[in-house]
Amino acid sequence: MKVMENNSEILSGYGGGYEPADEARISEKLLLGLSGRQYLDLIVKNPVNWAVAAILVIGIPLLLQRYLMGLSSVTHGSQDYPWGIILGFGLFGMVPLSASGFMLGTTVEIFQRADFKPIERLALLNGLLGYFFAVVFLLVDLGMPWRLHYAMFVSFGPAAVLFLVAWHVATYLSVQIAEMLPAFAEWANLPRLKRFVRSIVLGLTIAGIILSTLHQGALGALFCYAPGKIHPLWISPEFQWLHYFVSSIFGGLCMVIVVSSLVRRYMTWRCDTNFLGNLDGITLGLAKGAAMAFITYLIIKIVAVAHDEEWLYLVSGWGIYYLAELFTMAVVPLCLFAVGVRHRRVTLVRWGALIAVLGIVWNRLNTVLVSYNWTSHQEIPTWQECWLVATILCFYFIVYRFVLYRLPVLFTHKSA
Amino acid sequence: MRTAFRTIVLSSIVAMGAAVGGWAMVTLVAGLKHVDWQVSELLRQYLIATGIVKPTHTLVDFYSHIKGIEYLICVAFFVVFPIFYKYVNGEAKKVENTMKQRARSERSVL
Repeated sequence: MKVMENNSEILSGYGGGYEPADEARISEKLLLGLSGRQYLDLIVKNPVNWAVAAILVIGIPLLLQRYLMGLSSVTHGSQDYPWGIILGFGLFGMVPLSASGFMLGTTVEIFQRADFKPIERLALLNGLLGYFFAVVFLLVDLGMPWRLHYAMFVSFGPAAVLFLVAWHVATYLSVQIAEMLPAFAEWANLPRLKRFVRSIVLGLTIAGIILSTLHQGALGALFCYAPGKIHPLWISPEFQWLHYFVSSIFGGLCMVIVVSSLVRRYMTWRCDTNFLGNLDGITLGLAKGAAMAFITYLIIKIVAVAHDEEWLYLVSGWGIYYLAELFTMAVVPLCLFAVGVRHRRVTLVRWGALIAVLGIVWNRLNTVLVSYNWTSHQEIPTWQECWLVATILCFYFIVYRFVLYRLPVLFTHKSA
Repeated sequence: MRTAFRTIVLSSIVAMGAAVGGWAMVTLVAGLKHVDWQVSELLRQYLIATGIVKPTHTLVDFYSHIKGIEYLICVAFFVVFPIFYKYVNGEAKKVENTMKQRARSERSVL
């Protein structure tokens, strides 16, 4: 921790708070105003980069192995277990955590809550990268990336949930790229592009709401393909889409709280006073919204148990496991958020957000892996499969940090 | 006199409590032994024995049962949610008051 703080100080010393002049060359902007040597020095001194490199050294050959020798060479995936940890974590886990884009877009652009403006771009970026890497995870699982468009155009199946998901992800990803274009335009000094995107931002936000809400629900609906295979406590055909949609509301908000807390701690040099000064108030505001989503989620989960008459399952071993998940995912964060907001204890809220993020991932993994085929055998992912997930997460981290260092996300550009 | 009476009453309560507690403990242990020490199985049998969980024979019976419980949960939520909302927004009210006060003081300066 201390070392990372020191590194942040070094960066501050080299080019901290660096904001390029409009006429600066792209290479200068990319290197944050440092020379190539200084930039390389910075990379080498950061211990996080060494950890990332250690994962990639094994991960990239594994990725090649997956494409050259097929999925079966790295996973236990089969007709019985079609969704392994790659999709369980990468697609089903990351997508709800990426709902931040449409949440904050709606808050700022539709409801005109200017007090959330400092964190809007971070939420949009979090949404964009989350969805983008969900697609990357999907590509690793599916293979043959050149056939990505098949689900949308070639194998035209409007009755299939996957058809819906493919279209939603593709269009929503485009919308999110457009929503982040103003930040890119400011960085690349393209004022006309920024003006154009700003003129259509309301339409983009509305499109984002429609696509994202439908898509989050559709992900839950995917499980209705195999209702008999999943333990009844984790599947409720009438409510599944609603569970996934409501959990994405607090998932997205919690993820933004976690990411903003991390950048505040480890990337202080990149944040301006507008971001840092307002962050605590914004965090409490987000937590208040998330608390309402938590209590709603809790109730609809209980209603689903009542609707499917699953009370007896709750007193089994599976039931205790289910309750442990529900407590971690909803009850504990709900209590922490309520107390944190009421007594203005931001640290409590931040811990609650982290627990909720982990809880959502746990819930998705439980649905995809643990409770799947509960009457037969249990899928144990191979170490290669887990390593592939860590590898793609490293790419996610690298891209996330790269963008945050450069684009005006955590600071307001002088032209804004 | 009063102290002695209190001691007798308290001792009786403690003795009765201990007897009932001992009986409950023996019953629980015996019950657990009967189901091969499976807590969840004991709970299941308890729910069935007390009629909390009972088999239904027609779809109408089933729906009447589950909908009845769902409506009770919804009514409980209608009570709990406003209380929760009020609790969470407790602090915001203070801030609002402060803002109002600030606005009032600004007006007075103007």
